[in-house]
Amino acid sequence: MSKQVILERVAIAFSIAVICAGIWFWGEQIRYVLETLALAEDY
Amino acid sequence: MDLYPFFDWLDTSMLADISKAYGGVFAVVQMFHLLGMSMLGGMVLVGDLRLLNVLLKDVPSEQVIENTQKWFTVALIVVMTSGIFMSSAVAMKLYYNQMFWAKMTSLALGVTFVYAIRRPLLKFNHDTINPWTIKLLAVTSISIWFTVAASGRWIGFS
Repeated sequence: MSKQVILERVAIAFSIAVICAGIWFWGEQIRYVLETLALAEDY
Repeated sequence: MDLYPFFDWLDTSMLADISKAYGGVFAVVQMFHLLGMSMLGGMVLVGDLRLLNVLLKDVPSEQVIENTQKWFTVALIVVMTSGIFMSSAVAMKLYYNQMFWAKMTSLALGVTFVYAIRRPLLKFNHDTINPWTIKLLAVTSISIWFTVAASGRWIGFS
C-alpha cells in the first residue's frame, strides 16, 4: 500500500472522528446556552 | 497527566510578573496575538476554500497550498508564543476554565492534523487524490480552526 493511500485513509478516519466530536461539542454548548436562556425566562 | 504544577509555575514566573505589572506590554503582545490569529485564519480560509473550489480557481491548488502553509506556520508560532505570555497573566484562572481546555484540545488536534495529515497528503499531486477526500480535508480543517477561535473567544464569557 502506498504512502498516499495510507494518508488518505488516515485523513478520512481522522476527519470523520473530528467532525463527530465537533458536532457533539457544539451541540452541548448550544444546549447549555438554550437551558440558560430558559432559566433566565423563568425569573 | 496533571498540568497543575506547570500552571502553578507559570502563575509565579517572570512572564507572569511582567504581564501582570505592565499593561502596555500585555496590550502589545495581545495585538500580535490578534494579528497572528487573523493571519492564521486567513491562511486556513484561503487554502481550504481553494481546495473546495470556491476561490482562486484559476490558480493551481498545489501553489495556493504551498504558499499558505508557509505563512500558516509563521502565524502559528506568533499565536502560540504570544498566547503563552498572555496566559501567564491568568494562569490559574485558565487552569480551571473548561473552555480553555476545549481550545487547547482543538489546537492540539489542529496542529496534529495540519502537520501529520494535511500537509504530507497535499504534497502529492492533487489530481491523484480523491476529490471527496480533498473536500473532507478542507471542511475538517475549517471546523477545527473555527473551534479553536470560537472556544478561545468563549473563554472570556465562561
